[in-house]
Amino acid sequence: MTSKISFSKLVHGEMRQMNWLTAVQMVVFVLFLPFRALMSMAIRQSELMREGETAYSAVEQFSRHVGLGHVENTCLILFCGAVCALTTFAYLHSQVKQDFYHSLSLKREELFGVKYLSSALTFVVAYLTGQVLTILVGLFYQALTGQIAFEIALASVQGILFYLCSYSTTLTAMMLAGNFLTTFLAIGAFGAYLPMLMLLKESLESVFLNTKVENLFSRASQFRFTSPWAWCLYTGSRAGTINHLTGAEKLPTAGDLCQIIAITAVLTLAALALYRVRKTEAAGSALAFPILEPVIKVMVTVPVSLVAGLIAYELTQAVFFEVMFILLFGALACVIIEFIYRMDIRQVLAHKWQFAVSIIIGCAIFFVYRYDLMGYNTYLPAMDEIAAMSVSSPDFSSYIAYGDNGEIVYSTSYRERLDQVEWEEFDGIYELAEGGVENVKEYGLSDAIYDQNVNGVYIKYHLKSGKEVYRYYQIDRELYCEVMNELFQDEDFKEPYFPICTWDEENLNRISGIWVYLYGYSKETLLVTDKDTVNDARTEEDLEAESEFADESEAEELSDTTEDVDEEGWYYVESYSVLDITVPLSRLSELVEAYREDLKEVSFEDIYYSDDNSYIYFYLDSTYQSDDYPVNAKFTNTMALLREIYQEQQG
Amino acid sequence: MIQIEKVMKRFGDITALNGVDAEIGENCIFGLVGTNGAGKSTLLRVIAGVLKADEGQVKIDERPVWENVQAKERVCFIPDTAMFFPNASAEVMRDYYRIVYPMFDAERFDDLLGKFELDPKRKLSTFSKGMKKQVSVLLGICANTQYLLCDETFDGLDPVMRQTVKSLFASEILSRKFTPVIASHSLREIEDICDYVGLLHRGGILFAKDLDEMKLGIHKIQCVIPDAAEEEALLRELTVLQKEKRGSLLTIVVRGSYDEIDWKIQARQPLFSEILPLTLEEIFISETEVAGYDIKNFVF
Repeated sequence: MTSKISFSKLVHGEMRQMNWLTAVQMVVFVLFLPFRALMSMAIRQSELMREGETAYSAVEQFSRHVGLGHVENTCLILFCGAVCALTTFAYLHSQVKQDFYHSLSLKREELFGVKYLSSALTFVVAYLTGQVLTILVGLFYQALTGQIAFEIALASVQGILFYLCSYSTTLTAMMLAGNFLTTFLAIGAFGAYLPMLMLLKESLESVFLNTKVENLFSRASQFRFTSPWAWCLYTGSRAGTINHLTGAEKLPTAGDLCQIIAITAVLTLAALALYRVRKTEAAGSALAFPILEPVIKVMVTVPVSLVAGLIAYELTQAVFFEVMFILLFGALACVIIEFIYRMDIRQVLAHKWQFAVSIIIGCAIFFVYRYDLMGYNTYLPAMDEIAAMSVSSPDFSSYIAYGDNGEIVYSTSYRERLDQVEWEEFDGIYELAEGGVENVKEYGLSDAIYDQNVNGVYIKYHLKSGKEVYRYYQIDRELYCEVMNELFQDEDFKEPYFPICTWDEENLNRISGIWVYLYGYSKETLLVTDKDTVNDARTEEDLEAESEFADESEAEELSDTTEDVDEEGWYYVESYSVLDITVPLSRLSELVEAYREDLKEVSFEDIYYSDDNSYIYFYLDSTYQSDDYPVNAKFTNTMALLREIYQEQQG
Repeated sequence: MIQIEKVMKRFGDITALNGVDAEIGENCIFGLVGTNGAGKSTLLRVIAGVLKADEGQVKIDERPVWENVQAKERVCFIPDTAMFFPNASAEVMRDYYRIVYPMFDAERFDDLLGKFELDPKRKLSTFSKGMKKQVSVLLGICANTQYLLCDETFDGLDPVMRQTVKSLFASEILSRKFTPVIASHSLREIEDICDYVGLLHRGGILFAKDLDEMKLGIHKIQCVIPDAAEEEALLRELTVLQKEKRGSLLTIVVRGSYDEIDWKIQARQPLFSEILPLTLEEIFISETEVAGYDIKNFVF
């Protein structure tokens, strides 16, 4: 004899008990989907009647409010998933309800399936109703195109997958917890534990590993791995990020959807497996699996103690206080967790060995970072282990490189810029690295290093093993300039840092505008016809004053006025203003040629450590991205050409 | 038949059931009595397949009950606190029970609701405790399962309703295969209705017997035996469960047949002797006292 309970009837019966949930979701989705579209179309209609024209066509207006890429919709869907799981499986926290459900002639997996499906259907009904009504709004305003309809369909599929993902995640958290308080904490942990751990790790590294080179892009993509919700948000925000109207909107790929399906499947199976082994009597206790108690306690206490240690370090930089903070906050965390477990103030000091283990781990991790016991900051591979090295610094102002196919690679990340150029002849760079490591050994984490005349330099080691290591060192300016001057004598070394040297016809055609902004001596060089007159005017005093001015001027906004003329330093006050020249595109080739010629003559120090550096900006492809190059009086050919252009423009 | 085989159930450090062994036959009313915390509810929940035994197992008609659909479909469990959906009426619960208990007799349920004068459309949350109990019993009976597990079912019912429910059980037994198992600490309720009684104490079953047989096998004797040596000898001869002496009047509860006990007493030449029938409550007290649960410990 098999179970006579009809699965479909039971799903229907459960759904009837959850009518309220369907209704609430329906109201929410009608407001967020069709009502929103309706309102936007109505506003456009009224604008049209009032002013005779509108910013967007009906199709454009409609497409802006429907379909993919709406983060608020993704958040709402994820929230619905969590709420539905909480309400549907709330019986896990009630002995009375479990007595009823678990006494039915159903296997646990059947009951799980019934509950899961009925709850999911409440969402599907509400969400799809919202989407269908949205389509009707589009039809009513004759704003629905095939592409928009397809996008709405895709958004619906994606929305349902996000819901199931959030639902399964919440369910897994619920299966581990025994009561509502711990359920909410478990859900919070599923969502925030790993991001916070990531943040803590970064904080420790930024404080103690001062040679670490941040990888911002990697951090953004790593964020999605921290929780299923983050994964959904990441996927949801990637879709529809490009303007709908250009037709170049990024649609979720099959891969994106498969990833969400895979996560959902894994979490659902995990929740089911936990449900099968979960004891009925776990209802009301803090955790459904008491074996997890010490594990969770350590997992919470260790990061808390590390944060405490970090705060103590920032406040005092004294080992005694660091240890005390770790102990105090670690103990506090243990007490709170123990209270949550037992709800008995008399037992908060129980399981002292768990506290001891947590503190030992916390202290160990903290002091490994604190004293760089892993040798991260002082890492310097032997030369024969290195295949190639690269160097970059904030001095190298160009953010643009050109890929193999001529595409623009615009990057503010030093990691990427280090990746773009690697040198197999790296003696000079290695020398810089040695200087950096020496400074780390000498000054450690002390700020005293900044009292020295140092430069921040990014270095990459590409090891023969294939491993890539990035470091940021403070290197004595003298050594830095000496090595870089030497390296810059090699045209091949210089070229990659100046894409202008290798621009071809195609690159030149992409230039859409050239602006030159000249300051200080560069400007004077241009304005004064007889260059020697200016140079002669630069006495020792002037040079000193110029240097001071250069420091001050960094903090001040540049202005075109030349009113504040100081008699003593006439030249420098004059240079306070900015001279901007728009170079006609017809002179582009000449300018590029002149700049290339100058580059051959100037040293690293001439380029970057001239006090009057100005810049030439080449704007690309009608975009706001520009490739900028330093220019100063040492660039004689370039300055001569700019003077000529300027004089022509002045008539 | 329900077979309970060496069932062990622990909740953390507490042993709720400690190797319980019992059999519950078919077509009888089985009463499960015991002290507070004896494990009655736990045992019922294990039988219903709600809890998994840590050791041992429960079989229903030869099938282990845990996660066994075929075994569980023969059982309906009415817990101490019944589960009703929020804002549900008796009608709503009826419709749900029709799904989860495919043999549910909706017509009979409606009929019984009328007889019990319970409004089928009224929200159950507005019902009194006793009325809720009535609805849950009616749902349980109409589920038409072979075994009905009732945890403190009569608690909260007024005497009239109690009798009505008892007669309902009796008529069910007459009309179909039906075995109610009633857990209660109220011995008088059990005494009136049950055919068999299992006595749970500290997680273990002290005995499970036919009630009449039990009453025949245990007796209360009041006697006066002038010779102290004779009295001592009598006490050694009998299986004494409880003994009390006030002045020269000896009151004892003993196990054994009426005739055998009477013959042994008369042989000691008492001045006065009387053998009295025991209520279930007295049997319960005597048996538990033997097991170390002395009521005198609670008299201050």
